[in-house]
Amino acid sequence: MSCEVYRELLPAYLDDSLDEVRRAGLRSHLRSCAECRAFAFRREPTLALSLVDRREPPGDRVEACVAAVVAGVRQERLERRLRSTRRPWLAAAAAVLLAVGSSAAWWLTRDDGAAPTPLQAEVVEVGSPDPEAVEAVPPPAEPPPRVEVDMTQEEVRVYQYAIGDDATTGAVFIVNPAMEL
Amino acid sequence: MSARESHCLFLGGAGHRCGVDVDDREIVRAARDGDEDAFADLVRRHSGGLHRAVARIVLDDEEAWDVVQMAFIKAWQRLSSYDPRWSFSTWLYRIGTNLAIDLVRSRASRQKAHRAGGEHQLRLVGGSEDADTRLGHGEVDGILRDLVRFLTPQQRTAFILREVEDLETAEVAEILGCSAATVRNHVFQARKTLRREIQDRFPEFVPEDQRGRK
Repeated sequence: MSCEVYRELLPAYLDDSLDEVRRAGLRSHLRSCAECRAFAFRREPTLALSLVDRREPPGDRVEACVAAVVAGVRQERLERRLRSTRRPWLAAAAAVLLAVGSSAAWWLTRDDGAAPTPLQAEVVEVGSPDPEAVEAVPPPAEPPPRVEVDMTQEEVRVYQYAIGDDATTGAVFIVNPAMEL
Repeated sequence: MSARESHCLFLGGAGHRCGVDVDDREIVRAARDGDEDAFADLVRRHSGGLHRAVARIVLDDEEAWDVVQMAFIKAWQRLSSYDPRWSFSTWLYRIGTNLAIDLVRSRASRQKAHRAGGEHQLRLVGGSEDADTRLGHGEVDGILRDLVRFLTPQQRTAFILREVEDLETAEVAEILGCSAATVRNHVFQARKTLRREIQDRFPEFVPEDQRGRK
């Protein structure tokens, strides 16, 4: 097409009534023909903005974008996986069980307003050392204390033991007799 | 490279489709199956064009990269809802330009843009070269950035996509979620505003017999 024909296409271009093929041809011609470009700019100054360069960004900037997106995608996948492993129904079931257990414990241990029974504790000093064993193995300077407290009304036994020769270090066990073997 | 070559967007009939588009669909299918490398290829293909368009909408190169990254991550999250009858790039541009428009609407950068515009005006007024020479020197790019701030986000996006990126009107309509007639109206209004601002701020771009005429 001649320059004259391209110039005649300008009004249709500005009305956006030009088909895409002829539109692309006109834009391409305006980029290459300085005279037609000057003519077009006189006709419509904003065409200078339409024909501005479309530069590609630097390759390293694109690669940085790729790396950032891939990192975001991985983060998103990880979060999605974590979401799928969480089981809210399990937490709800645990909460219900806890509530039921607490209620049952309260119901079983309630005192119905009765006067509290005084505690009766029995303290038993356990065992003197075997004389033969004493001969074989020299006893420690102070034998380790062994105390057993039986709180019969509360159905609890408390055992206190010393560990080895160290009388200051001990272990205490509070045991429900019903659960003892 | 023309927009037709670089984007080849769009559903259309078979005549509108090209190799790039068909390849995109195959890559998208692989990405949908969890292939991160395939998705990285999509980012390589489309981030440059999307950044160029978004940067002209948000008027900030770095913020534009942030928008591009967000657009791709959103695209990844919604990949299962992508309809392969449509071009991936149209779908991506829709996500990206919506984010850009939201950013333009939400941020208070008018003062910053105003300062940048003033600097350009001082530099350009009195220049001896004509518009055609400046077009080759890339100065028009700066003028475009200065002037689009006078457009509404919709006008700005329509003008950038249709006139600068050379996408088809129907594609722009799909990206903006409006009719082709609305896109033409946005572009018409944008051109009117830009013409007025060019006459006011860059009179050397206007023929002498037209200066002062609005």
